[in-house]
Amino acid sequence: MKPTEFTHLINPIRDKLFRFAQRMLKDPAGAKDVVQDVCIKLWQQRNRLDEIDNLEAWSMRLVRNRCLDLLRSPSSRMGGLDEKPEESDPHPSPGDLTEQTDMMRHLRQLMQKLPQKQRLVMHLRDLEGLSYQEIADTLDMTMAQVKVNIFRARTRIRTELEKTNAYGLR
Amino acid sequence: MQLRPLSILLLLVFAIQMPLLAQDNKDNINAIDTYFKQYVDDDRFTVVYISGKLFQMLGKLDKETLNVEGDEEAQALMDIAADMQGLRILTAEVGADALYNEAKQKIDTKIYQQLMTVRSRDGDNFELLIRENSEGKIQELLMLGGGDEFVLMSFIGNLDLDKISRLADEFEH
Amino acid sequence: MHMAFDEQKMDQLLERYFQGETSLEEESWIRQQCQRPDLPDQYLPYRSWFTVIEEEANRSLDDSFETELLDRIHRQQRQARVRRLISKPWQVAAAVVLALGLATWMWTSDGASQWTSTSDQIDWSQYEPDSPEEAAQIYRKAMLRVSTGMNTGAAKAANKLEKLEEIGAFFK
Repeated sequence: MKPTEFTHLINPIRDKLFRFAQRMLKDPAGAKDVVQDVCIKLWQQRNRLDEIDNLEAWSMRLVRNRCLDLLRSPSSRMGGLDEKPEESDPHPSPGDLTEQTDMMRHLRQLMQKLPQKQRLVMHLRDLEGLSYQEIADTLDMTMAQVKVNIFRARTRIRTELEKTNAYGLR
Repeated sequence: MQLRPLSILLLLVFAIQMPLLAQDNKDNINAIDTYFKQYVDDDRFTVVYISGKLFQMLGKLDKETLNVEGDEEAQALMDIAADMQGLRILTAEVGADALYNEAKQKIDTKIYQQLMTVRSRDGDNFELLIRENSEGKIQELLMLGGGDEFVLMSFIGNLDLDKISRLADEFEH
Repeated sequence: MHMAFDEQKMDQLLERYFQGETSLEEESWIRQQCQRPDLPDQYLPYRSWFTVIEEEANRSLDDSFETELLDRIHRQQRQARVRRLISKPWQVAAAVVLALGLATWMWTSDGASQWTSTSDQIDWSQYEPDSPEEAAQIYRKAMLRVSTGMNTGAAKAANKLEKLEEIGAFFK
């Protein structure tokens, strides 16, 4: 397989891998490196790629494992609660033409502060549109655990949203 | 024995009065050094260096380890190796044409004399240049190649072009 | 968007959404509805939420990623070729012994010959092959390329012979 053939295979899924890595690590620079590392790993396995049913799912698991390794390492500086959401967004979506309200910033931060399992389940469901089964497979959880975590995560968001409603919009 | 184009070229080279630079050897920086300085950290390049000392060790190797086809070839290689002071090789697969053109421009034609240039239609380019010392002996041979792959090779030593050219015949056996 | 906003359905689905019981289609419906210009005020917080989601979902890597990845892959390939150069086990053993000897020798002697460059220039020793055997292989291929080129011209040389890039790569 030629390198350019390989990158064509990777291109459709790389942004998804990046977002996931970023959600896990909370650091966009580190996330890019993780995706690079995973792609190299896939390149090294290129002769066996057709044995994999679902390249995307497989790659997501590789990303997850790599992130877990990094998070466990003692030299890791990550896991900090203060995040810089605006600076770390290189490609704002078209909808971002509307003004960044305090509310949205707050919600973004809220999501980042969720406990890891809740945060990741929410990411995979609300952002990436995975089925609960797919989420369970990616994160190595049972269906029950996925449901519990999505419930908790969304409840946290709901509380915040309803707070706003009660006191009027900010 | 057919009259090789190389022999004609050599004759021409020596026939033309070339302004030879009578520099102290220590100040001679080979072409690759100057060119490569800007690319030292550039990962596009593959770099190999074989020093004079390594050539000496190489010359002492058992012929079998050279993995060559025949005794004559091995002998010819060893012969040339004995005269080698250094070989530097730079290659790159990305952007070969641009690199080739740039390298060509950067080689100082006051110091390096073109021995041979081949440009082919499919973009494979090949050039040989030489640098002579004050006694008219060749002390550096530069090979520049383009096309699919960019190559810049510098052979430094007491070089005998005829020996090198004859090597091709040995390889063909 | 021609239909009037269905508050009842919205409330039902939102409730189920927060319970984690909606399907992907239903979630999609909620998101779409929240983007309506005639969305009643009490739902505006939910619009904020789904807009955040939308923006987060659109984060992407820039174009430099692919170039950098290709660079890394090319480096990998060069490394792999070097490993293939020494194929016979006995060569490896001999190479190791010689390399140790050679390494000692080189460290203790003055590597600069009268032909090479002055001190502030590049340190070429980092690009040396590990053993005389490897050096021999590389040297042979380099000579082959030059001598063939001399005699038959560039095009033939390039076609006949393997790429020089394959003959070795050493890391900085």
